[in-house]
Amino acid sequence: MAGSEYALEVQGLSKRFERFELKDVSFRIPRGYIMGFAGRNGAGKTTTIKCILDLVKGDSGSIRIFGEDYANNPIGIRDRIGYVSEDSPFYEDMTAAWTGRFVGKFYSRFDSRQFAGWLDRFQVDPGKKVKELSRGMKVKLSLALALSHHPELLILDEPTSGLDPVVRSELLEVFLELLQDENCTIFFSSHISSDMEKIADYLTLIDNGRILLSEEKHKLLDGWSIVKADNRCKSPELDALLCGKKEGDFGYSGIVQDGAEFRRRFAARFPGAEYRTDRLTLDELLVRLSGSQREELVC
Amino acid sequence: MYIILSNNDPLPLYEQIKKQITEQIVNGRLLPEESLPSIRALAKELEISVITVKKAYDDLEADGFIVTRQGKGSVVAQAGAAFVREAKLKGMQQHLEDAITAGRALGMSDEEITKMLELLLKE
Amino acid sequence: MLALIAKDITVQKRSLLLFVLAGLFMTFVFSMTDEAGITAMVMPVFVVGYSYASRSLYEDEKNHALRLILAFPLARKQIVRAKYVSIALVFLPLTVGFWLLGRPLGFISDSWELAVLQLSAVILAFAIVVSFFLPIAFKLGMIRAQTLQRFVILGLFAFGMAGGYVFTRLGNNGSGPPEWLKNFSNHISRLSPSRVSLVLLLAAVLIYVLSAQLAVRFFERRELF
Repeated sequence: MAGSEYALEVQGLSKRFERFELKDVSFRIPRGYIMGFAGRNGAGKTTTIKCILDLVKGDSGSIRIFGEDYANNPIGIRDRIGYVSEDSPFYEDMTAAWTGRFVGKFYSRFDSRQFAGWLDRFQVDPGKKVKELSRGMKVKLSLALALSHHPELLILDEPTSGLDPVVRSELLEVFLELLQDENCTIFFSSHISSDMEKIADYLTLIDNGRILLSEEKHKLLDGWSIVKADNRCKSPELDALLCGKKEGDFGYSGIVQDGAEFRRRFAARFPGAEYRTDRLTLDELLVRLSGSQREELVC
Repeated sequence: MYIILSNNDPLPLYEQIKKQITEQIVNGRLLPEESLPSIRALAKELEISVITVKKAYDDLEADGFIVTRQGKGSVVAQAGAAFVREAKLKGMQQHLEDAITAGRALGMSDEEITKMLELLLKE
Repeated sequence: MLALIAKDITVQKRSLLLFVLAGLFMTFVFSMTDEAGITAMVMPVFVVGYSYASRSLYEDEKNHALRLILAFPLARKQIVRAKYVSIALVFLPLTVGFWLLGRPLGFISDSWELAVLQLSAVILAFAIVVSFFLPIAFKLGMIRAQTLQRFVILGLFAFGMAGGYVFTRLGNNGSGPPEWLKNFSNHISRLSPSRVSLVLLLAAVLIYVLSAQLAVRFFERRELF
């Protein structure tokens, strides 16, 4: 297969709006992996996805999909992308089966037998109108539509939000199943971090229109740790290593990327004093980093 | 092969996978040339990300426990078991050395130590 | 593109039927009054055609269906062109149908040539209104264009009424219309009505096509949120 080893490369993407700005957004996903795109509501996740889908044009920067530019081959690229948005799939008054037939007319590799199979597996009644489906069923229908044309890049905007845990884990299982095919790449945004912690290979964190971090998941979660220490053991040089610091009457805490360096400096500065280190969850990482400026990070 | 992951384990997931596969190679549950599940299949089975399993396999390969052949997947390395045995042997030797040091600290003679060892072996 | 056109009509199957029934009702009511004349055709046809056009755009934007359609492997100009074709495909049979009703109900001229002229004029008038509205909708989006749409509807009513009035006078050959219009229409009728009809139809097609080109330009630059 021709093309790049990356399914998606976003490089220096900027886009200015009246009240919001995407600034120098860069990340890339190797083929065959799944990337979680995390951030608060309004952080710029959906806008970034719209740029990736070419619904919105960036002011600067480039987006390459399978190593290709939209300008060169817009239709060919879209034929290989499956998109699941947070909205209802297409027309509320039409049935799931009709929607499948409609979508099927546009994609070169749409497989209607497979579509019926997905609906069956997801227990979506093909005869039901879209508006009669629950939120979970709508997402499943959207996913069935996207999967039935064999996308090589699946882009999902908040697929799991508003779903109950059972449906969520069902969807996550489907994602892992898709990844059995090494040519399938998944990019999904969410503000539910537990989903990502479970299945994502790569994580990209966005806040206020800027990328905070984009890294292999375990490098992020195993690399960063959270330290908690007594207020007596405080010094500017230690502070310099900490991100997202919180201070209270009984102690302070912060996250640190280079745990070993912190340990060394702490021991040198306060011999014998104690502090605690904990593993970091994605939630904590996001919360602690969201407040801080990117410049502070040594990434 | 079996792998049981725990979220309560302080070890990262890939370390848990590494540890359990290594153990099974050492105690002979996994034999040389026996094939391991593919990275993607194992990830799905364990419901964890592909890259976590990949990292575990990469580390195992770097340590010489498994071999990955293009297009054929990963198998337990021939040298894997021997390699582990040697490591274990070293560990055992270390324990004996510790015992001798402890004995000497108590003022025991070499003969007394040997006698004690023989006594223990007969038990 | 055919799939998009079929979709437009399928999605609105029920409301379209409803619109047509309402239109028929209007026609009958209008045709009962003597003075209505061609208004009995213009009004319902405009209302139905226009409702179809705006509702069709509205359906696409509701739930962001348009965003999903834009993710299809499809050029944007196809989407615009499909919309124009679907509106024409609905409007033309509709208008001809109502026009055929005009003979027995008596709101269409008895002269065949004049009747065709009336039909062509209605088509041209509708083409002008829609050609004005669609590019705006494709540029700003249906929802934002809705405010503008209200003015368009008001204008449309005025236009329809005035048009109907003039044509009624023309059809009845009454003594009402001002001198210049009378001269003008006399002049035109001397020109052979079928030739004028042809000119009107060609103008309608030209305006419609140009409008579609403009809408494609607008839509290609549009950013969808």
